[in-house]
Amino acid sequence: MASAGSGDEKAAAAAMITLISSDNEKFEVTEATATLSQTIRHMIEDGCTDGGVPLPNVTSKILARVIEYCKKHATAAAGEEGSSSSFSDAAFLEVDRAFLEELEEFDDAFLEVDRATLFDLILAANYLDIKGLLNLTCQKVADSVKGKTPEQIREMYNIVNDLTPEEEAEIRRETQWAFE
Amino acid sequence: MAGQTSSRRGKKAAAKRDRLSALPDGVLHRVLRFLDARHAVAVLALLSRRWRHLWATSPHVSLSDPHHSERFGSSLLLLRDGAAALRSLRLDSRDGAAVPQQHRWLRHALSRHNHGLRAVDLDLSSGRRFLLPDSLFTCATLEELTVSSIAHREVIAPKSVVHLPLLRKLHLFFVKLVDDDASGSAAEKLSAGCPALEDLSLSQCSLGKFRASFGSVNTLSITDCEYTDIHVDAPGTRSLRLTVSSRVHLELMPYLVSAWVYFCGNGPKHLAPCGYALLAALRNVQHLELLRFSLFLQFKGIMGNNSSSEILLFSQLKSLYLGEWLACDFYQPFAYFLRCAPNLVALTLDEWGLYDMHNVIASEEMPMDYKPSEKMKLVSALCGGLETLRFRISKRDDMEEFRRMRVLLKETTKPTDTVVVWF
Repeated sequence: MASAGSGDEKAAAAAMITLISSDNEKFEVTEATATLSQTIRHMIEDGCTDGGVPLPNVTSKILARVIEYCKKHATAAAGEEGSSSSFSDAAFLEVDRAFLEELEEFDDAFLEVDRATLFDLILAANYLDIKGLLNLTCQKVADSVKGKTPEQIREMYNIVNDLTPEEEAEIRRETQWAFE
Repeated sequence: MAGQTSSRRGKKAAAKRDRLSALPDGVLHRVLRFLDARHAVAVLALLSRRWRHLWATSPHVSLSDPHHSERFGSSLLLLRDGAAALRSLRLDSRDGAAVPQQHRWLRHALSRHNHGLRAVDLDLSSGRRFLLPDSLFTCATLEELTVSSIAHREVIAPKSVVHLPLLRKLHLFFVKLVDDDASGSAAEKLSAGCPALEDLSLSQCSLGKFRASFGSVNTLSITDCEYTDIHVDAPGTRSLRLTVSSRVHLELMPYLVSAWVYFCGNGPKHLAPCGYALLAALRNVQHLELLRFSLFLQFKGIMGNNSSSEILLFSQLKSLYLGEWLACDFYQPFAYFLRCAPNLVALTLDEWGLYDMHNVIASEEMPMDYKPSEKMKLVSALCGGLETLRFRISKRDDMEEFRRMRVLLKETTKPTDTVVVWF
């Protein structure tokens, strides 16, 4: 059941959280931005964010990018007290529609990174449990292998083929139905 | 090479690392979700041992290519790893010939062996009736259900009780709700059987008489539907989208944040004399978009006995968007909100939005010989707390009021943000 936007809630929305990267850099973000990460949301709910949230798996370079993403998308989810789930469906609102277009452009530009950074972002999104960012980055990987042959994909991602010719033949036999 | 330093070698090794295969299974399954199932089985499985069984352990099955043969889909469902729970199923039945096997696939996914199914997405827009199985409406683990059809061909008519205790999201597109004489209305069954529903969207559906209460819904959208009567009690609604084309009664939505309401055609005629009750249900809204609200106000007797005696106060309203066909249609809606929205910060008057929505230059709905009964009092609004003022106004309109307003705007500091787009 929804609750009214009480004074307490508004005060909480303005609260700041400190995130600490693996190389010990500190980032101050609003709670609204930080809670796009389910991992951090749970930490806040459990009251273990005093003194900062250490993120030993995320470098400052990647954390800065992740925060950039969360900031942008938190504004989208906000609308005063609207939840992130209601936003996509509130997109009919004239203001939101314009903002949604802007958001799409932001996402496109955000994804223009080298492959190493893309993988770092995927791992950070997975660790921090940021569904939107994880989908965005996974989609980028999926698009890159679409319509490609196994050889092309192996070359693109340095995948070593450790299948013996016998195993490969076996796979083809087992999945014959997919080649028809 | 002899001259290479160890750090350079390290860098080179890093560049050659296979970081894709090193991702956790859950992440790679997510990548597969964005790909056609055939690509996952016929191409990716051949990459290396790491990739061989990934398709089989994925909790998501999407048979969304209408050309997936019966053999392909059945093999995929049969040969996938039985130990890996099936969480989501997507079927696309745009090809009518595929309906019988898709029906089997859905029942298979819903069967006991696979309990744990959380999301079902069905595109049933072939000409052929799919006939949703009853087990779909008693799937105790289901959290999200989307069904699209065309021309009301697909029918939602649960024969017995609906039992979807975990369902959070229900999106129905172009389907028909049909009541069962013996066991009651489909709407009532859905509302009783989906206690956790948060997001309900009915688009272009045929609803008949739709009476329901949804205690936990926060996002409610009923657009372009056919109905004789809607009566909805959804007190937790934060975001509302509604097309009023016939009788609508809403209970108060005290937590409403944003609402979009489109009064079309004969809608307002059916509202009389309960129009006041409809507006009253929305009175706590913060962001409001009204399209063709002039139709509503022009209809005599629509407010019942409340028309003059009581002014409904929209005290939380911060931003208001009005969409009309003609500039003169803004007069009444504008005058109305001038009285009842004391805390308005942003106002948009848009003559282009409706054209945009209908993708036409002239519409049957467009009134040709309508004379406004009131003068627009835009200038007086400028003295209030307005900070943002936006117009998209046709050049053909008489702009006397706008001209006066612009002169005045030069002399005041508020609104700080003013945009005028002429077309």
